[in-house]
Amino acid sequence: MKNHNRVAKRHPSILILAHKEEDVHGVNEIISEQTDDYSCLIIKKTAFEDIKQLAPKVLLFALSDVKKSICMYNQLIKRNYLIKNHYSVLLCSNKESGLAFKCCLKKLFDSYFVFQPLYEKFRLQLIIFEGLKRFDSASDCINSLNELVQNHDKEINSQIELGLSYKESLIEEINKSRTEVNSLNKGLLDQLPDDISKKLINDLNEEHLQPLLNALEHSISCKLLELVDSLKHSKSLNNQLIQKLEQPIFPNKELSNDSNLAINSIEPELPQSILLVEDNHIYREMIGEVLSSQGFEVEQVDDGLAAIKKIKQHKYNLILMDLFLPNLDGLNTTKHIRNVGKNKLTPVVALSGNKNKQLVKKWANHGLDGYILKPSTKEEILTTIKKVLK
Amino acid sequence: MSSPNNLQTLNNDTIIDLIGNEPIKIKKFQHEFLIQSASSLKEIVNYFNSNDFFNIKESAHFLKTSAKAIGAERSAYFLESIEEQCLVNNKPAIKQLLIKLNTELKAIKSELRNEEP
Repeated sequence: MKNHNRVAKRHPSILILAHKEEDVHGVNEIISEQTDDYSCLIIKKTAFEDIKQLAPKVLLFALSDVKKSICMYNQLIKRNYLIKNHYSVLLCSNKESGLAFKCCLKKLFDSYFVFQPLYEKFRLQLIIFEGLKRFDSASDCINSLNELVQNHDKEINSQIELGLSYKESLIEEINKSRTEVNSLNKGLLDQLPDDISKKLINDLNEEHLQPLLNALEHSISCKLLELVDSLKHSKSLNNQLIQKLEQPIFPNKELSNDSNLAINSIEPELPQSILLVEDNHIYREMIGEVLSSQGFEVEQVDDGLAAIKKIKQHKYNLILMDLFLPNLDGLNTTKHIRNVGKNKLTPVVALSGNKNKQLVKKWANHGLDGYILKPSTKEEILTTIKKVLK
Repeated sequence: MSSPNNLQTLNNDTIIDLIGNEPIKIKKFQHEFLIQSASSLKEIVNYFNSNDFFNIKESAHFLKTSAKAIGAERSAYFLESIEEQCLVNNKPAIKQLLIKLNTELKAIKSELRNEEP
């Protein structure tokens, strides 16, 4: 546990202002993972003088409400108690986030962060990092942030690095092309006989060529980010493909004598295909077995992004999907399904817990065709699915 | 779920209703749940130590799905309570629930061991 005494350092780079220490316990813990160069000041009568003496670079206002934080910040600026290029961050509760956003939009505060409830640990650390960057004192933070995230999947890390190297080389190429175009323009300008023509070329360059180059740069950056995303999922797709290839051609279908007769007279009916999207592999396998045992052809994925990959490639008779999924939740995946690809009209059935009725209701507005409460019984699951497929 | 006292450590009817009365498959899923719960609990404790309430809630929700599916009613109840306490960052209450959950998972393990021939 770090020491959060009122004046723990003589001139800490980061200062957290709060009415009660317990309000910012979580915030203190998160910042202490990033740097030791911070203090927490509990507001008392001498607060203004204390802040002036501490002269922090980054200030986090975590008073009991946004109004009090604004009043205090106004007083500090009015009395000239803060260093000139300080970085101010407004910490607020979720219900006051709109007000905090407005304060940042108007440029009163440099940034804001919702700390009640405290969810986005890394975003807070990123805000602190941005603040310290203003003073060139962020280099230590980069190392500590790197350490915090270095436990991530090695493959994803290497894909990110690969994407960044692609991006750097492309930006370099764009800059090179920009220099070439500029020098070409300059050459043309030098050859022109009068100032009016030169001005025309200059205007053409500023109004058309530069915006085009900027748009090109932006478009390539977006494409690269998409590329990094798709690379992240390539491994899981390969695994699924291998699984699929290893499956027998007609799984779970035992033909009786009667059905042999039927095959002689009519074409065999193709099994109905279901895409099952669920992150918990045990429950996913259970549902998969229930459906396979009824002759459905089931493909399984564990998150929303992998589901989107699948729906781009195949058309399914039904999509059965969990609400809470990693990377992209059920609601947003459904929105995507309804807008893109071969499954715009494919029925989507939600897998959801009893507590999420409001979310399921919201989801229904985006094209949900039914829902199954977890864990449900085999009969309930099959009844719902057969009803939707009719 | 109103009170953990009315709930069972392992209600086999739930999994039978879900996948059918198939003892081999049921054993397989129960065994997988023990492995999954051990690793999830470890993960939750790590998040707890770093006050990462968002990820505690996510992990508890994840494990609750399979707990409910195999009929681990009391474990599912504790996991749902952990989710609720994460919304108000109530660390002491979460600590108590984690202790109860750990005991409950041990009880499932022992119940499954006793069922073995």
